Amino acid sequence: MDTIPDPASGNSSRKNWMGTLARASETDLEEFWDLYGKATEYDFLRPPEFGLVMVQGRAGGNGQKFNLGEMSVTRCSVLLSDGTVGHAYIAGRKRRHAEIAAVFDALLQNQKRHDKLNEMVIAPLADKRARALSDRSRKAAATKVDFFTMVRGEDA
Amino acid sequence: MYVAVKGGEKAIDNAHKYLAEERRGDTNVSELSLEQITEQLSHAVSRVMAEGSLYDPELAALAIKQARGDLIEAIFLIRAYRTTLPRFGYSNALDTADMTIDRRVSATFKDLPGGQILGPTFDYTHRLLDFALAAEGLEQPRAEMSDRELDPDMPRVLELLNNEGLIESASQGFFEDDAPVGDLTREPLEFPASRDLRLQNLARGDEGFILALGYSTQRGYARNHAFVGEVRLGDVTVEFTPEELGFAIDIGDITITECETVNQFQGSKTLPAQFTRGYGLAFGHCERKVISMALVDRALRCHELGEEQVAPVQDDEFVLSHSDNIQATGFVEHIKLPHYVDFQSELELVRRLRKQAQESIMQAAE
Amino acid sequence: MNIATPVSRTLGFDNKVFDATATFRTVLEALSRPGTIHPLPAAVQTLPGISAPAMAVLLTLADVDTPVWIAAECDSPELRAHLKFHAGCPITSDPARAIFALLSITSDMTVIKQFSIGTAEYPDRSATVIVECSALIAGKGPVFTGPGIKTDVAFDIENCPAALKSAITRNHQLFPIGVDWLFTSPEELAALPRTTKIEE
Repeated sequence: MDTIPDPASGNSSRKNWMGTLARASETDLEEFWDLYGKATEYDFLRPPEFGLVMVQGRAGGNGQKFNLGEMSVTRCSVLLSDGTVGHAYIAGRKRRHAEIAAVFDALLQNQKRHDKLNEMVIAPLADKRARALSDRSRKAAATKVDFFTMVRGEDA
Repeated sequence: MYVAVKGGEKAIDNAHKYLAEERRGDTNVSELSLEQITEQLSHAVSRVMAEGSLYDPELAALAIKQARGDLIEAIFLIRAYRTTLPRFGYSNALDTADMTIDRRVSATFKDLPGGQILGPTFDYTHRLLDFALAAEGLEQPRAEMSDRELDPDMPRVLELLNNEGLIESASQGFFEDDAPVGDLTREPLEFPASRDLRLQNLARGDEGFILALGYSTQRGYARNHAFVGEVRLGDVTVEFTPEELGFAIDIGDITITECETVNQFQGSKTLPAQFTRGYGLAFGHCERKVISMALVDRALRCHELGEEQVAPVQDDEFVLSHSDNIQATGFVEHIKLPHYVDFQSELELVRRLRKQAQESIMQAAE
Repeated sequence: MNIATPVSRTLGFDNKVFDATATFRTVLEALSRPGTIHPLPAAVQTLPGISAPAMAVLLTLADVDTPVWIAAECDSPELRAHLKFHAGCPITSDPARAIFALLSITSDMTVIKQFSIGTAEYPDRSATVIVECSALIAGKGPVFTGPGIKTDVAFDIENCPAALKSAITRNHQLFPIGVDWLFTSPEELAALPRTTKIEE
C-alpha cells in the first residue's frame, strides 16, 4: 500500500489534518467534498454514530485530574477500495461532517494524493481558521487594560 | 411507602397538549429558533451545559426551548439525554494555559505577562436597562479590533507566586498523578470524597447553591480570605486518543471559564505559612459559577490543610449531597405528586391520637 | 498506548442500536428466567472460533469502562482489535480486573477463582462470565431452583466439565456476592445468575 508512513512524524501531520478537518465548518467541507471527495468509493467500517467523550480538567490547571463533564462527539470509520482506513472524531452531533472527514483522512494517507489534497483542502481550511483566530485575538486585544493604582496620602 | 396510582391518562395527555400550546405562546409572535437561543441567550446555554454536564450548545438550546426557559428543567432534559449515548472514552486533560483567550483578568497583579484582557464583560456596565434593545432593527453592534493580536504567552497568574515559593504548588501535593479519576456518574459518592470527585460535583452543581456557599465563606463562615488570582474565558482544544489510532487527535474546541483563587493560609504543624489555592472550571461562559466554585473548593480542602471544620461549606457530605439541582428538585418537587395512601395513614394516626386524648380527658373528668 | 491497534475489517451488528437493544433484552430475559434457552435475536458478524451469541453479548454490554478478560482458547489479535474497535473495551490480562470474562468449556477452570465477586457493600462490582459451549440442552440434566424459576428447571451444557459444575455450585453459596454466568452455543444463549441453586 502506498501510504504515508505512520511513525511519529507521520502521526503529527495526520494529527494536524484530522484536527483541521474536525474544526472545519460543514459548509466548507461540503464544498471540498464536491470538488475532491465525492468520486471516492468507500464502505463504512463504522457508520457515523453519536457518543460522548468525558472531558477531564486538572485542579489549578496542572494539578489533580478530574472529570469536568461530557461532550457530544460523532465518529466514523471508512474503508477505501484500496484498503486504506480513515477515521474521524468530531465534536458535536454531525453525521455528515464525520463521514466527509473520515474519507478525507483516508485519502490524505495516500502518498500520491496527499500533497494535492493538503494544498487544496487542508491548507485553505487551516488559513481560514487562522484568520478567524486572529480577528478574535485582535478583538480581545482591544479590551486590554492598564490599571493604575492611585496612591493616596502624603508619602507617595 | 410508595403506592402506585392509576388512571388519568386522558387528563395527562391533555395537560401535555396544553403545555405545548403555552410553550408556543401567542402565534402572532414569531417562534424562537435554536440559533437565536445559542447566539443571543448564550449565558443560559452555558449554564445548561455546565450543570447538565454535557457540552453541546445546540442541545442545550433545544432543552431551553422545550423547558420554556426553566433552566433546571432544561438541565434535567440534558441529563436524561446523555444517558442514551455511549461513552467513547476520556479526553486528555485540558491544557487551559494554552487557551484562545477572550477574557483574562487578575485581581491580585495589575501588571502581568500578557496583560489584563477585559473581553465581553458585564463588569463595567452601569446596570441601567438599555431601552434601545427593546426596539427592533438596531444597528449592528461591532467590536473594536486592535492592530495587534494578543501576546501568545499568557502564563497562569498564580505561577508567578509559585516561582517565589509563596503559594502551594498545584502540580504536586495531596494526590498521585496516575491514580484513577473518580466519576460520580458511574460510582456512588462516598465520604470523605477526594478532590477529583469534589471538583466534578461542583462543576455540575447548582450555580445558586454554590454561589450562596461561596458567599458564606466571605461572610465569615470558614473564612479563608480569597482573592481572584485569575479568571479566564476562552476556547480550549479537546484532545482524545482513539484506541484504533493510538495517538491523540484534536476533536474540536470548547468554550470554558476558569478561576483560580489565592487564599490566605496561616500554616500548620507540618506546612509553612503560604498562599493556598481554590479552583473553578466549567463549560461555557459562567464567571459567577467558577469564582463561587473556587471558594467552595478551597473551603472543602480544610482537612488536607489541617484546618478546623467549623462551617457547613467545609462539610463535604453536606455540600456534595445537596449541590445537584436535579436530585434536589426531584426530591423537593415529588411531594406534590399523589401521596394519597401515605397521607391517609397519617390522617388516621392523628385521628386515633386525638380520640385517645379525648377519652383520657373524659376518664379523668369522671 | 502509542502503538495503534489494527482496525478490525469485520463489521459488528448490522444495525447497532436495534440489534444491541434486542440482544440486551434477550440477556435480561435469560437472566430473569435462569436455565431457559434463547435464540440470538440479532444478526452479527463474528470471527472464527467465537459464537455469534458471545460476540453479540460483548458488543452489547462491554464498553470503555468494562475491562474484558479472554481465555487463551478464545483469544486472538483479531478478536482484540475487533472488540476494541466496536465495543471500545479495554482487554485485560488480569482476571481480577475483568468485568466480563470470555472462556470456553475446554478452558482451564481454575481461573474462575480469580474473577471479581464484588463486596458486601457493592455486590454489583463483580464479573459476568461468558462460557462458550458446543450445545445447550433444555429439559435434561441438573435441576435448578431459585428466583425466576417457578418450581424447578432442568438445564445442561454438552460435555460440561466437573470443575465448571462445582464452580457454579460454590458460586451460589457466596450469594449475595459472586459472579453471574452466561452460556453461549453457536446459536443460543442461557444464563445462571448467582441466585440460582443446583439441586442435587
